[in-house]
Amino acid sequence: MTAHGARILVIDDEKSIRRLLKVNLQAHGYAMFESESGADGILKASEMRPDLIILDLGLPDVEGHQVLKQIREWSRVPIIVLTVREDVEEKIAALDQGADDFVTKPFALGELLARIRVWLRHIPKQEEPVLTFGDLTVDLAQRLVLHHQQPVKLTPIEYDLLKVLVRHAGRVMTHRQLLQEVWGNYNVDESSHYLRIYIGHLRKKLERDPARPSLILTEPGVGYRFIVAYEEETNAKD
Amino acid sequence: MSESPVKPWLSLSTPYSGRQGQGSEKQRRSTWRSDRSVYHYVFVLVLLGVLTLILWNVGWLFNRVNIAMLYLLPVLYSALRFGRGPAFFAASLGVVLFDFFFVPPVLNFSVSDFRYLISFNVFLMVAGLTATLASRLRAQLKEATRREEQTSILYRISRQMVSLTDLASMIATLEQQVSNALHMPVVIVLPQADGRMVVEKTADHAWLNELDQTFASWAFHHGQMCGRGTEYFKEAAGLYLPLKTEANVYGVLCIHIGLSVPSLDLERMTLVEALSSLAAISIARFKLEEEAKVAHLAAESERLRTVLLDSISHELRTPLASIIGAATGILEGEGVLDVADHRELIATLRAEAVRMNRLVTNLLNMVRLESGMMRLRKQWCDIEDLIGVALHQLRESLAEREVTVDLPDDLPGVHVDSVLIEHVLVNVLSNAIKYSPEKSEIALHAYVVDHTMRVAIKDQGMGIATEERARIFEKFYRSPRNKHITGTGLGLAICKGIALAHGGNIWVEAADSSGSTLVLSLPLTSR
Repeated sequence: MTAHGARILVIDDEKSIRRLLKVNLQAHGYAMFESESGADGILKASEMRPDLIILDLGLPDVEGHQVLKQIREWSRVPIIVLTVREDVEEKIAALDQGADDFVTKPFALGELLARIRVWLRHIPKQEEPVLTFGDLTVDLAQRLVLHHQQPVKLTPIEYDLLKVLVRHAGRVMTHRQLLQEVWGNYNVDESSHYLRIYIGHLRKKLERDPARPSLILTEPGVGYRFIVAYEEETNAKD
Repeated sequence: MSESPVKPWLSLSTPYSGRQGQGSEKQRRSTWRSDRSVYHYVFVLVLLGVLTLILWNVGWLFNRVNIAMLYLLPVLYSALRFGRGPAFFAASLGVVLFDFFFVPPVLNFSVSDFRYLISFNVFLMVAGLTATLASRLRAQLKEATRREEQTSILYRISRQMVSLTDLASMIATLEQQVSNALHMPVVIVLPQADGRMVVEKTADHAWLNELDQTFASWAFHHGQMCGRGTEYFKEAAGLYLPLKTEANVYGVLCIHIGLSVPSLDLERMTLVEALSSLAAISIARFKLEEEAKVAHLAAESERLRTVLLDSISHELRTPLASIIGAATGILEGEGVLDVADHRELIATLRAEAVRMNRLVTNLLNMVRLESGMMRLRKQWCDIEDLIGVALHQLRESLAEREVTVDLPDDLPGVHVDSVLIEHVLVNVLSNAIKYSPEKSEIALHAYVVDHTMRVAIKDQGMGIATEERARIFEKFYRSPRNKHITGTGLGLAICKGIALAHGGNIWVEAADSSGSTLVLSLPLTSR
């Protein structure tokens, strides 16, 4: 299921991180190009036409956010940013500026590979009417949600929220994005309150143990992520 | 205790009040006296006139000795009321009138009986003595009242100074009080870091100009008062007094007197000097306190640094030793190690790295808390969600454990920094894992009490002794019973810091049979 030959550009000034990624990405069948500065990264992004970019936000020459903006001016290539754990604001800013996802340092390689797979696989899979994640099946054509083959009764807002989440399965959805897609509402400060209530409802209806969700994960301070099946497998293996 | 600052400057200020501005004082006082005393002399004149008139009419009732005695009354009165001059005037005039109207030959200044001349002299002497004594009494009374007034002003101000804890409000209060005592605008100018004299608040002191700053600067650098009525720049509109103690000049007290107003009289001058000494002492006290605080902080941080260094060097080296050992083992053991050993070494590598990561996170958070850089990024969160994230983070260490989570259905949301609270939960849970037997149960329970959200985390460990319940939240405190388990003694201190920053708290609940229960409490704010 790996996308063989997919070209990945890594922009990171840390040599050890680049080496680690090179070994692992090549082992998983990807072709990796590396760049150790922002300016060079922007150049390589246009020359190499990579299928995915991994960008460290803490670069020595150019602000990571600046690199992000410049690449986004002409390219829709998926960009995964690497950030440090505490910096919630940096994560949100990066996502707002066009990053597609983030991985927090120090990261487990499995996590990064899972993100890469989601983003490389995502494009062809967009319009499927029926999505299945383990015990959960969401039939977008019939507005039907099945859990263990049993239909689950969802309110219209709960359904819309679940639909947005599963459509972007594996990807982080910020509070803002969810509010915008479900409520058409931009006021994050006031409405995130409702969001967490509806997420709570969804978890109660779909999760085995709502206190330890395995489907709808919280990205603290940023948003939510609907976990895809193989991620569950890797987690179980750990 | 609050009286002590008053006395020293009283004794200090008196000597130099005599030296400074004495010349102008005499001059000013004499003109002041001439306005008022004309009225006093006229009053004495009228008094004696009336007395003479009465005695002239009813004089046959008294003999001459009685009349002479009655003439002493105005002397006494004017001595007490107006001082010595009018009293002597009253005495002299009294003799003249007595002689003219009552000593034969009547209505004539000549005296038939020369023994009267002796009487006149005695009269004058008695009158003079009385007048002197009375006026001295009056002066003493006046002086006492003045001193009492000044003392009470100074006492009041010094008491206020003692209760104030920051420099800005102290300066403001001083300005206010001096201004009230003098009924004149007042400003205290403190030197900037570069030694320039710049007025702190311009809006309130519109009267200040370049010249004032120049004079203030002069007073500051020379440690001498200048301005209106002093030896230097006596034509200036203001009076500038250095706020000095024996060791230092701390600033300048500027009093705006105005160009058309006479300079301060001796009394107010004394008061002003006393006030400036008080201000100097107050500022000095404040500066010393600040210095002491800084010194204390430096000592404390020095101590902490030592403890930190000891603790960190140990805590960082232990996992590093394992990591280096495991990595070397893998590299050198190629072909020797079987798959299981290989895997075990790699697992060690990862576990130790994870441990180091947690340590570094704790250290960073500690630094943030200590330096006041911890900024809360509050959001509405479900406690259920936060617990879920914490459990997810620890899923590997918890894999072998039975974790029960007891959450009522209708828990309200909490307005907290989710990353930090997650960090608290992870720390407390890690402790529960660390200090309880393998595979024993860990129970989480969330509930609402007294407008607070409580999360109780209970393990089946050895429990925490009563006397240690508060201490385990202290920085670097490690229970002597757990010496064999590694740790920095930072985790719970950080938890406490984060909880307090949220307006919440964290504590150990009195244990029942076994294990310990830590309770995190967070305030519930209404939406």
